[in-house]
Amino acid sequence: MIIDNQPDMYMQAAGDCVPQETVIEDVKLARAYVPFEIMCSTFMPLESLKKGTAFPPLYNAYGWERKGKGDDMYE
Amino acid sequence: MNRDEMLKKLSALDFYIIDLHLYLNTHPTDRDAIMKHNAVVKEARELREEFERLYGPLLSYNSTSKCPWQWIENPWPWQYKFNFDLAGDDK
Amino acid sequence: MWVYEKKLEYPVKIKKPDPRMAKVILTQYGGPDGELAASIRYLSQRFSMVTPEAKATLNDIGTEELAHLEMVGAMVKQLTQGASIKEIEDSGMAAYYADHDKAIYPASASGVPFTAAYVQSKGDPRTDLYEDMAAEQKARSTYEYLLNMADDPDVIGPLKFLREREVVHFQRFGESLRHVQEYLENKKRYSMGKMK
Repeated sequence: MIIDNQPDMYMQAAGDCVPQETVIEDVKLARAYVPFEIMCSTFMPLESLKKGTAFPPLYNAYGWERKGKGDDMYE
Repeated sequence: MNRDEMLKKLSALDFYIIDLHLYLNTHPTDRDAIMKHNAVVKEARELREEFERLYGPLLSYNSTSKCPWQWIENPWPWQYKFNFDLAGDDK
Repeated sequence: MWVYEKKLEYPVKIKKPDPRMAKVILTQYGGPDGELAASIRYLSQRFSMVTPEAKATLNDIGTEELAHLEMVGAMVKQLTQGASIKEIEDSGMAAYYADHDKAIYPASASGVPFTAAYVQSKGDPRTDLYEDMAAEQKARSTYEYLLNMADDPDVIGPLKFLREREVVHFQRFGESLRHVQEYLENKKRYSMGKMK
């Protein structure tokens, strides 16, 4: 299919694109602020499906790893 | 492409659309994202039509049917044999 | 209104029955931090939202949660299908089996039937969005605990997918909160395009 042969459409040179807001102005007490994400590049569709998101900075954003039970076959 | 490969491809395109759609709901002025979204929607549309032509309807209220009524046909999505392999694919 | 698409968001193809996992995975069907709670929470709260971004987010994430509910149901179904009565008993599912056979019923891992007490729809859109962010964290943690107990790649794949979706949803609710806060406090609408 066409789309899969155009990886550039998805992975445009991120270059100096920062995929999120890094400064939030005018913050007030007693409120929570989540920085806005900014789309720079995305995974290709099949990779997105496997990972659960099209957005690289949101993929495993917490660096979590499955503990497993020791002698299982997966990890 | 066999049925499983086609369904895998379509599921991938549709998922990409979903994730971009949610992003666009909070970033309505991101022109780039809209372009990516629209390009994939067009491709998914074509692939979905092709899939439906070969393997029967996917969307309720959107597809025409042969006789007997195709919508009810097995397998349904919660059945093992409806689904393609992905999990063990390459981690 | 809703349209049904006859495919799962992410494939569920589990070769090996495992009623032990079925019992705990069910908690994401009808438990306190599960997908039914999530869908009804967001689809109910959407009526209180005040900016277009927030209305769309609640509407569409609520809809996606229904797709996740479907995946969880499919997982439990495939994990019990083909299991013998002895396997059901040995896995601790005897009580559930007595009430439900191998049917899918909205309950938690400990058998507590689903209740609307798991959700709130408070009216103040900020309050609702904070709840939604908390809900996504609870769901993420639950998937992590389920993943720690799983050893079958066919089960791990969908659970990892569902866990990642919670992280993404949290981000989107957080962004919606920014829009709503900006609107209610500063009477302005954010314009979040590309920042060059």
